[in-house]
Amino acid sequence: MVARRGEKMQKNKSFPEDKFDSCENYITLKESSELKNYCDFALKLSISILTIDNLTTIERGKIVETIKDKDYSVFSPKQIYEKVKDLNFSQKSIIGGFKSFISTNDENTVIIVSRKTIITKTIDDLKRKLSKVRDDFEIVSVVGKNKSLLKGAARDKRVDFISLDLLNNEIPLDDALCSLMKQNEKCFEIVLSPIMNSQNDKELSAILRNGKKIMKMILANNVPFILTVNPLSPFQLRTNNQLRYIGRLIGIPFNKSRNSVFEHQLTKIVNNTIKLHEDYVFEGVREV
Amino acid sequence: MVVLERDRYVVFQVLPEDIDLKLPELKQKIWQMYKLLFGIDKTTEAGLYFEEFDNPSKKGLIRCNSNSFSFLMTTLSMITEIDKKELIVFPIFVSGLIKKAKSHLS
Repeated sequence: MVARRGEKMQKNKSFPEDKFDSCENYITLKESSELKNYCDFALKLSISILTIDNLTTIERGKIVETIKDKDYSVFSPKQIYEKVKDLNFSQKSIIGGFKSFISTNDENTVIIVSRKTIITKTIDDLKRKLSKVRDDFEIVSVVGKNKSLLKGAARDKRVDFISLDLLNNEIPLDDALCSLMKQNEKCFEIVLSPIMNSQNDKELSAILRNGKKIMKMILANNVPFILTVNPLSPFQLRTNNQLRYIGRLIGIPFNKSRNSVFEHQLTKIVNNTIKLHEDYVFEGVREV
Repeated sequence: MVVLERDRYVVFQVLPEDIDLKLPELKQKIWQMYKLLFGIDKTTEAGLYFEEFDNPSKKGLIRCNSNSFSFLMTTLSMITEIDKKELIVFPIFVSGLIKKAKSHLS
């Protein structure tokens, strides 16, 4: 940016990170007591949304009740939806309502989202599992190794994300799958933990090579993607900008990953919260 | 054409605050990680210099070249442990002026 003589140069205000616009999309808890540690670190790093794997909406409700009396408050997306739904009618404005709730609340707020990761080998098994779990979780992600399975997942409306494994040398991606993903408004989920936890240089270089191949295909087809860490401990939580900087290692330009750390995740969470709510009739219509 | 190389001052914080960590260990880890990710060539161009590290608050200040700022940020993001002690190194402020950066350090 060039400033004219006598004018003050505009400062880049995007750094340090904007408050509360980070999201961790894939946390696996070994014990439910670990959640408190994650919440503590999330607050320190200004991460506003934590998505917990294998935690049903009912279990999450109980956890939210138990953490209520502590130093910070924990919310579920349903609670926020009930607060903002009367003021906002369209999906877009409800997403705006969520954002303003996150930004206006003080620094002691964490939103906990439930998630299920389905690992399967056949389409029939995937459909069976999806019919069982869809109503109990806000986010459903699929992990698979063959292209036909992932194409089936991309066509299915109940799937939100398709997780891609950077450790797998055989990349189950092609142009047809990318095009299907784009048509059905689904996102690829890039899990960055293998980069952070690699044991040696050889393994790291293989992971980065796989990541670069995957990202080349995704960016060429302009398919939406999200970045997540899948942390093994709270110390592996990363803020939005940190995720984007790690993403640079696998060939993601910094300016192209802007929506991949918060925007896509929030949109999916809001859409699914609306669908899972008791008031929901069908898209765009709710019982008053 | 004259190409200017400017400095960037990155204020970072280490979490958890009660970790037993010394500056030489942290310095070595950052240099090591930078070299692993970007090679010796980029490391020499980075102009890394550890200006300050306040042990009680676990806040520090690193100077780097403006062209290698993003590489430094990637390096800091990739650090997960030092001597089997788990930690997070995250940037809290970036400036081109050392005076301003130091004001965020205290």
